[in-house]
Amino acid sequence: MSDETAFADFVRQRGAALYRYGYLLTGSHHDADDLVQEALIRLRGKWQRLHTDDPIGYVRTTMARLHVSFWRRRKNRERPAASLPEVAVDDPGLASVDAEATQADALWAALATLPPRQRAVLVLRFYEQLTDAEIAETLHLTRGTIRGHASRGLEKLRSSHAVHHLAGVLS
Amino acid sequence: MTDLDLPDALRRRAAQAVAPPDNLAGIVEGRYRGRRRRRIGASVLATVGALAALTTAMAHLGGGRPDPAATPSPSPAVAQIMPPGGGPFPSAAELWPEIDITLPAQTPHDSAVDVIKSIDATHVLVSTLEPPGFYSYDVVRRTFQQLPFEHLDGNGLRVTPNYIYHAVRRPKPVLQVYRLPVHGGTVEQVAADLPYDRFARWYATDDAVYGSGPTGDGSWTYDIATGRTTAVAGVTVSGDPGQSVWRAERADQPRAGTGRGFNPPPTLALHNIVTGERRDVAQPPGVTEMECSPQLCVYLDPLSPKAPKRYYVQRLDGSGRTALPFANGLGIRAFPIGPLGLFLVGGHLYDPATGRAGSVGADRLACGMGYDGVRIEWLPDQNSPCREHVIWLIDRIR
Repeated sequence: MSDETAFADFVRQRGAALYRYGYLLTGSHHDADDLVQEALIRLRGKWQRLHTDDPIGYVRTTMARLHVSFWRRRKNRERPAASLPEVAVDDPGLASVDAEATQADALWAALATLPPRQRAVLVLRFYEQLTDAEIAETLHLTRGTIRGHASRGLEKLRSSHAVHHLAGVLS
Repeated sequence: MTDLDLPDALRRRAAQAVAPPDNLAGIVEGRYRGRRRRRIGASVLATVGALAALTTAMAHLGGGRPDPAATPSPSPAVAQIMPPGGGPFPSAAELWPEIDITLPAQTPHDSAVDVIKSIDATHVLVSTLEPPGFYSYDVVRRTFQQLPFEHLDGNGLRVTPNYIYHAVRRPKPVLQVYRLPVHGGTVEQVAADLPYDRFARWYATDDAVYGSGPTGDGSWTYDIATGRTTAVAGVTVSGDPGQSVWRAERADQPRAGTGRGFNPPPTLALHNIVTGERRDVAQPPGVTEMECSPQLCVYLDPLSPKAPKRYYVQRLDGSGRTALPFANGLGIRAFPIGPLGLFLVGGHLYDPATGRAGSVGADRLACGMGYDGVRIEWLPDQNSPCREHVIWLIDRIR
């Protein structure tokens, strides 16, 4: 199998997962698209050496570092809204569902206020399920710094007015 | 309000991500080939590790090395940066035995200990998490002495020749700065209300606190004696957080046309937030891995992706390009040590000022590695050759 074919297979198998990960890192479909493509281009350049090793780890690390170092400079730029605010509907039967959805939206909004590193740490810890040591290596930081980012990030999520409780979280 | 499961909430949100385009592999392949043809890195991730933070302290404490922040010329002689032969090289731990920090089994409160940085030739700064605390660890006597800071924030420490500074954000958005003499004494508050938007990233000398904010509106000096805050002339960057008087400035270039795509490579420069000096950094085309000290850059040759790794060292202006005889992994890291900086490159710790280089060790190349600018750390892992917790405190090299 040629390098090009093997790489294309990898992209087909992993592309969707990488887009999901990129979306959580950036909060934007457009930025996720850019981020994934940039990381894959870099992987392509190292494919011969990495394809038998850990290409998904390389892409994940590249995306996290790019997000922190590159995307953070664009945070103040205007970007189109990812979704329009919905109009509230008065339906008691939907109250519990609405509460959960509202909380999830509030969490997403609070996540958007975090600095890129804090956001990356939370995504790597709670979505990618990496250990603090793995996150430290991914982001070139110490475990203590990772714990600090995680603690401050979680505290910000908790202290946001809409997100009062975070279950399943070990800070 | 019900509890919200964060991992589950993230998974649900992730499911809303758009699907990749059907021809994603083709798009990436085309862009990769186009980029190779142009040999232009569309988005250079040239991490400029701005160095020299602790060098003032090192020069005073160790008396051995000059302060690169005070070095007038950024152009060392080519002969200085020539590495030794082609190896094999001795172990870095044998070449610089002082960097290997072995902690005793008995730690304060039996807590896990983080090694932070050197205080002087025989003491290193460490912290504990439970309960939180800062300690001076005597590497000879292997004893801990607790430092009497009341408010603790593990990310807010700086060491100068005579003081350990500690900053806390309390109350937000104000930075309070305290300091303690390195050889003992009492903690004094030197600043009570530094605005966080100017001092979010900070650096200290014996006489002043220097800061820059998250919004990139320049650098600021807080004079401890007078209590006055003034702007540092000529410095307009906020730069990287960390331990250095040097801040990396990355300026985006305008994107050509209106179509989607990536910005062209940013220009790179180093700013000294104390003196205002600016040093431009020349980027070799297509480079994706590069680390710089205030005098030199080390980078991975971008033109041979299928060949063995080839690293080069050169001056900031791009002159004096010299191949390094290292080819292993671990990428490149830079450390704020010595007149030219130290580099971890190709599995070797390399001092351009002396030409000395030591191997990290083949086993460790397969182990998870942590790095923070003054130290390297390997954690024990049953799935790798690493069975012991190893900490190298690179700023102990004098």
